[in-house]
Amino acid sequence: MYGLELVAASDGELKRGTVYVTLGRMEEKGYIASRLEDPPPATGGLPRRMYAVTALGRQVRDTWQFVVERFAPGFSQ
Amino acid sequence: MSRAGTWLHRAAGRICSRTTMERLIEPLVADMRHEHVQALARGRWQEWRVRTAGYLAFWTAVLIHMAAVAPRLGLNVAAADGWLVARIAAIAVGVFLGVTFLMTLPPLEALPPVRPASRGWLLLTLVPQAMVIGAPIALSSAIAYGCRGRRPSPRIVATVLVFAVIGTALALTTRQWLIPAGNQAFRVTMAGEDVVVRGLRGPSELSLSELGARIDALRAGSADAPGAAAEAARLARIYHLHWAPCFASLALGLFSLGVWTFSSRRLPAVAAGIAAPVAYWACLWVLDASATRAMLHPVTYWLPNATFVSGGMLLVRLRSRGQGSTLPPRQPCAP
Repeated sequence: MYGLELVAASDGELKRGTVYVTLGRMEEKGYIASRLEDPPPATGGLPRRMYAVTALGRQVRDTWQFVVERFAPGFSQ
Repeated sequence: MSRAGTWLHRAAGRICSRTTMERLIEPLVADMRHEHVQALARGRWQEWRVRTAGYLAFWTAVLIHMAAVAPRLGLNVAAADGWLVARIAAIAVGVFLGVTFLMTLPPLEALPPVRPASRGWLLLTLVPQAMVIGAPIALSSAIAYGCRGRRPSPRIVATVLVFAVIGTALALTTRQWLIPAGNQAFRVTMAGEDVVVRGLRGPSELSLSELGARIDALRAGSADAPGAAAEAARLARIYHLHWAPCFASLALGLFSLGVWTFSSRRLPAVAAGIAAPVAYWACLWVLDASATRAMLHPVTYWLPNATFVSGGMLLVRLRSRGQGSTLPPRQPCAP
């Protein structure tokens, strides 16, 4: 997905000003990978960057979800 | 119609690293352009909305990124040239605070007794005058100590110039706003509100712009009022006497760099770093005494600045052509 597609799909959870910074940091940590699409002439030859989650990213997300489901109810009491 | 973000992309390309461009700027601008092309078909309002949202997103992303990398960048800058910047800054701040404090206390002690509550306030009103003198002394000694024995590379000269410009800006701000306000507050505290009328401020209580305006007014009416021309000339001398020392940080900073890159010894460097501003102020004092008696042109007050700047530049040039640093090379610190 593109950065702006993620913003649209997040239903307001992600902001367009912060999504690229977050994506950059996640890519640095190896949670996601990106590739450039073919440069479209209509947008001045600047290719869009598409992001996809990596195996490590999936593992981290699953672990995080497990921790949240397991411990978050205890914190809220 | 221009493509959205063209200028921002180009400007960012000059400043940002390749990684930042690839990870942050280019994806953002590419998405913005894609959205902009689609919005063009939906009308002018949509195009404007998408463009504005894109620019806002761009600056938000840049600010967040800058906040994240600023500590590392700051550390790199501070660590460059063997922590030269950090050392100059630390010494300059320390000397500045010390000199300002030392120059404020004696005049306060010499004043007639006032209410204890007023003493703190009077001390505060004396601080701006001490700041204008303290800034060049602090900068001169910090540069002399920090740069001792180093060959003035373009980077060191640039560092010194940045500090000198900061010192000059501080002095100008103080002279324009803080000193007139401090002097007026001092007069009101000492003489009372009913004696000191706001409209009757003297040259020491006027900002540079106000003093300039008063001189212009006197010159304009000198044909009709007797003595106006002489008063305008007197105020013009005071005007330049206030202006010229604001640039002392620049002049003494360059001079210190030029002189003390020749010596690597610590004590002479610091002593000389303090002696240069003392010589500067002594020159100014002598010139003021001479100018008042001999009616010299007010531009005379700029002579110390010109002398110290040209002397400093000459010495920097000589040292740049000479042999390398007398100190062993310092290892750069890892960020």
